[in-house]
Amino acid sequence: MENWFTRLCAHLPLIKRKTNPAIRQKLACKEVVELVTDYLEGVLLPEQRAQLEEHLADCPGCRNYIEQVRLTISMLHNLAQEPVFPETKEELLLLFQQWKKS
Amino acid sequence: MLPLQAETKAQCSWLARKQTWMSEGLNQPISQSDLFSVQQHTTRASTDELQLVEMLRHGNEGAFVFLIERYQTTMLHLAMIYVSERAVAEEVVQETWMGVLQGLNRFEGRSSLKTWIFRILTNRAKTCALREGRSVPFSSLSELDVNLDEPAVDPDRFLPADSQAPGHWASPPANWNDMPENRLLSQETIARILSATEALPPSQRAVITLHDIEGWTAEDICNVLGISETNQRVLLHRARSKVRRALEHYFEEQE
Repeated sequence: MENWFTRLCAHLPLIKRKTNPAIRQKLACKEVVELVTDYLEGVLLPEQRAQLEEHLADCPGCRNYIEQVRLTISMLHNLAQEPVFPETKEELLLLFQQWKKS
Repeated sequence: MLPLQAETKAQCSWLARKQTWMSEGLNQPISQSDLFSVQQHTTRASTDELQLVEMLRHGNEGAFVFLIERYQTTMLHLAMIYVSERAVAEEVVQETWMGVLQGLNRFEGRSSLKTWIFRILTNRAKTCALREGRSVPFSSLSELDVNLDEPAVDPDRFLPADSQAPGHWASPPANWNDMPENRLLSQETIARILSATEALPPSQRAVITLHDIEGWTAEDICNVLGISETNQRVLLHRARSKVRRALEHYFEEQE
């Protein structure tokens, strides 16, 4: 009993630091790069988001990094879709006609 | 991050619902690989999709051509993640279309048409991969894609722990918007993106293809691939990080 209580007490400062925005730790760039996808997909908690945006405001390196990821995504999005081969389409239409008859 | 293995318990309770789903269009027995898929909450078929299905049931060829043009290429790309050769993947896609047509009367619109078609595809592709003796992406057999701890950026790019600002950029990334636009959009850049995507592990390749190239929602991807949203994002994060890195290398080589 004493054991878990002592352990809980030892964790208190950590829990406090995590939950209190006033004494939260600043993010390092190394941590920011791991949050980029969650940030861009809009799934960060409001608190985490604020922390990240605070970092971005002072860090041109991380701003560039996020912009690089954004540009990568838009380039991926603009890749041309490979068209369907005419022969494939013909084969599939044949399949469709057979199915229709059955 | 949640490793895939932690999900297996939750998956069992999904199985009952999955069986209901399977009776809707798939008359295949539940295979081993099915045990590892997660059925997420699903969006029902839209009115447009239900109309399309109605047209197909009446044998409207135009409706079928519409579907082929819309999904054939994506289906082929996804099938190629499960099986080794393009020819085999093409067969899987053809079988899927057959399955779609035969299952039309049982489609009730409880999921979207797209999800339903692609679930048939991934089930066929998994069966085929197992027959080939290959490990199936997204099953417990290939968790490695998610479990490995892969940093998004090479740790050497950051200042060491004993420096003044540990974990901050030692060599910060460049501003790509300063580059001439024709370089950013050149054929070579596009070729680099493609080769970087092709070099990704299968599950990462599947997620980045569906999400960033095809523009699918996370929900649709999770439903089709049978993965959790968390794992979907981990895979997407790793895939994007690698493609960005490949582009960065390429732009640096050019300087």
